[in-house]
Amino acid sequence: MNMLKRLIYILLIIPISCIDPYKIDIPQGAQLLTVDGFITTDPGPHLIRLTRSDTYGSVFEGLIRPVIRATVGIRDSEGNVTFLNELANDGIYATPEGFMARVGVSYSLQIDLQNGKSYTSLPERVESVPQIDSLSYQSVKFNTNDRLTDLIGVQVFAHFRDPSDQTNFYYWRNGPSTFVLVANPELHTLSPNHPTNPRGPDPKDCCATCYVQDESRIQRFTLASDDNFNGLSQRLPVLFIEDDGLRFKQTYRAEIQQISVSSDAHRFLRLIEQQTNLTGSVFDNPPANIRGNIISLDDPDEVVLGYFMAGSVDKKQVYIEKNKLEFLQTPRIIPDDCLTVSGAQLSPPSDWNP
Amino acid sequence: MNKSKIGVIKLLVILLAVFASCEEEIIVTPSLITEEVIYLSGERVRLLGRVITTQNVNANDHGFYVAENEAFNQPLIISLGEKTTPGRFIGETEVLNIESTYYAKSFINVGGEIQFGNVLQLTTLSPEVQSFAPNNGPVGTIITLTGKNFTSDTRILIGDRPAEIQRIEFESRITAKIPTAGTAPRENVTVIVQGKEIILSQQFEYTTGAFSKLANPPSSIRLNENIFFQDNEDLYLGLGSDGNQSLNSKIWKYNLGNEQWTEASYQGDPLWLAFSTNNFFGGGAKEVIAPYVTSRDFWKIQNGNFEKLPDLPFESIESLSFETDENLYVIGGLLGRNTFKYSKSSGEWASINPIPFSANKSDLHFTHKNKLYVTNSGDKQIFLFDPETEAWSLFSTYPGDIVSGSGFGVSIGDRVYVGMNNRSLQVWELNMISGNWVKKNDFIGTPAARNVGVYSNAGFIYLVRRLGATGILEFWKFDPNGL
Repeated sequence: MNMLKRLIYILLIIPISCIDPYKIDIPQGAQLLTVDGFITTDPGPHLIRLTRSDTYGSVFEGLIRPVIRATVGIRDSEGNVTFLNELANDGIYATPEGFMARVGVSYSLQIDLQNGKSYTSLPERVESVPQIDSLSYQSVKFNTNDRLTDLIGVQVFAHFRDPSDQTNFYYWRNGPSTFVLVANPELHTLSPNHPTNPRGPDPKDCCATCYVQDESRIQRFTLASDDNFNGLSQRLPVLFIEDDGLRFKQTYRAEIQQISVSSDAHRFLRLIEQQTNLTGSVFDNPPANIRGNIISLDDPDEVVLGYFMAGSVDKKQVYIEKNKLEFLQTPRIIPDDCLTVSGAQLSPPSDWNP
Repeated sequence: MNKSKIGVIKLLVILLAVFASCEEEIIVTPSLITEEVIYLSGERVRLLGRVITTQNVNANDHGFYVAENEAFNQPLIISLGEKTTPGRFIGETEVLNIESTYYAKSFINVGGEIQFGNVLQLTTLSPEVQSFAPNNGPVGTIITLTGKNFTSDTRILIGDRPAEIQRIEFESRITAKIPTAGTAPRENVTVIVQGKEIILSQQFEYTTGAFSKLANPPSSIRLNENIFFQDNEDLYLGLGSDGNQSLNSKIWKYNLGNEQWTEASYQGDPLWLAFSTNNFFGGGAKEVIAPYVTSRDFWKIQNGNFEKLPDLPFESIESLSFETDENLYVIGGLLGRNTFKYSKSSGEWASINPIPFSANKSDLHFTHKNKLYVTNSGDKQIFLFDPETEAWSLFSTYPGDIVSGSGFGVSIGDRVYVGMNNRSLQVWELNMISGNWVKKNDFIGTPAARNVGVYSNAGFIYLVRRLGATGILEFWKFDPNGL
């Protein structure tokens, strides 16, 4: 009897321990044309990037491929077409030298692909943008999930007066920023594999300070519309620069671009912002493809991703000094010549004027 | 209770129940908007419309009406077919007339009942040509015109001949093929858009330059490393070698009037690699093979006669030479970069500034308005020698092929024609006023030949060319403006 019971238990355990992997059949995603382009009133070159989307999955599931050898033009409302030149068979098309958008003119993007398909964008009208009166900054500190580490950085504020006679949609983004990179060449040590004095002191005479352009992979941006402040002077936070232990060791120069965009572009950017801020919580907006303003002229039902924007821009720079910051991240030490850091150079940019 | 009253109450209750359960169908009339003109050119318009409703539309047809009058008489109907869902729709037509006013409105046909949206007014744009390039070239050259609002029926005329249109991109860039030439090298370019003629301020210039082969010189004349010069219609060439290792002591003359080759009365010694101008020759070597046994013979040419002058005070092999009204200049050569000046009036020789680079008479060179221009074969830079200052200065860069030497350079009016180095077919025209280089039609004969005689008369250039190692001579006439 006992034997029978044991046999029953064993037979019960066997099927329980077997797990069938659950295979999810992800439908093959369409390779959608994706357009990423922005022209402004700044002298170019302005870049239009054409790619094809692919199925989301593992690294090699689908590769985002550039759309090459397309004929790309920007047409204004007067019929003038500016043809763009492909830079290097990488799907990036640049406006010719001297091209800049004009306030009051509408622009649309025209694309003819090698496969004979044609696309156009809805026209984007360039509205004037109020000047940035000044930029200010403030040191800020936030709690994070890690109790031992706070998020420390600098919040940059734009001061401007919103015009009362027009509806404005604002888009701020950071331009090329530069900072003084402080290194400690006097702390340089010999290689761990040094035959006689591994890790022994080997101070260098040069160089302690360099200038580096801050290369951020992520384009940070802020949006606002003047629904709540039409015609009023404003001080709005437009950029947060995280202190990574290197940026604020001496002086950091941030460039803020204040851009006016159309209401449709503003709505598109707002949706992008929502999608990029998804945290995975139940309160998130559902992920979705955001429809842009590009239309297929051969098949109106074809889904085309991306948006072609046109806007006027005003820029200003602010020099952020270390001694004016209340919170600072623990400094990172570079025990070497600062020129060993990629992109570092000894002389400051020609317009460096802190 | 009265039975009849109960019956009435029952009936009322039943009726109430019946009517209470019937829900009246709400019919929502969709709103239709003609939103905006999203594209407008000379002949094409794209319109954006939108159906706004909370339920499906089930329309038999939808689209736009476009007409030249606000009453929409005889409208052009852009039919987009059935539509079931609300939302945006785009219609396009490309049959509009340029510079015309139109009215457009969206429509939707639901069950035979047509509903219209608001009316938009639009005016089609004017065509315009901004530029075209290149502005010169041979027949078949592909030119690109840039402008705006070109229509699909756009035509391009070069003179009165249509250019073959290959492509119109975004109604603003046209590529077209240049047709066969007419009678003039420069022609008006006319763009016709829906009957509207636009004549461009810039003309197209056909590549000119016509070669014609003349009768070969007598086969007895075989030359290499010779001299040549000209006295009006008399073209001379001779001396040098016979193409092999034998020196040639003869000079021949060709008369452009009677087209006859005759032997000139030269009684001097043969000279190999001597210099020559239209009035002087001399120097060179007495033997064909190295080491050179140099000659200092110096001859003056006058009316077809040859007068021996005092010997040269220097040695000269394959030197460049040119003359002004007052002086003869002998420059460089195989023996160095020295430059000598001979005064025609005093008969004196003087050494002057040497040429700044090594050059000899096979290097591309020409004279224009009493100045010498010599090409440095190493980098194609052309240096100018000004006899007034006896100084050399950088002038231009030759755009053609140098390959190897023996090209020609001839000045006619304010234009200079250079080219046809050995193994090159190219001829270029240099405008000495503007400094512009224009390519001429390629030489039509064999490129493996050297020019052994170069002359000009009445606007034409005459070339005697030696074919390869055979020593056989060909005679060519080049009309720089010929089509």
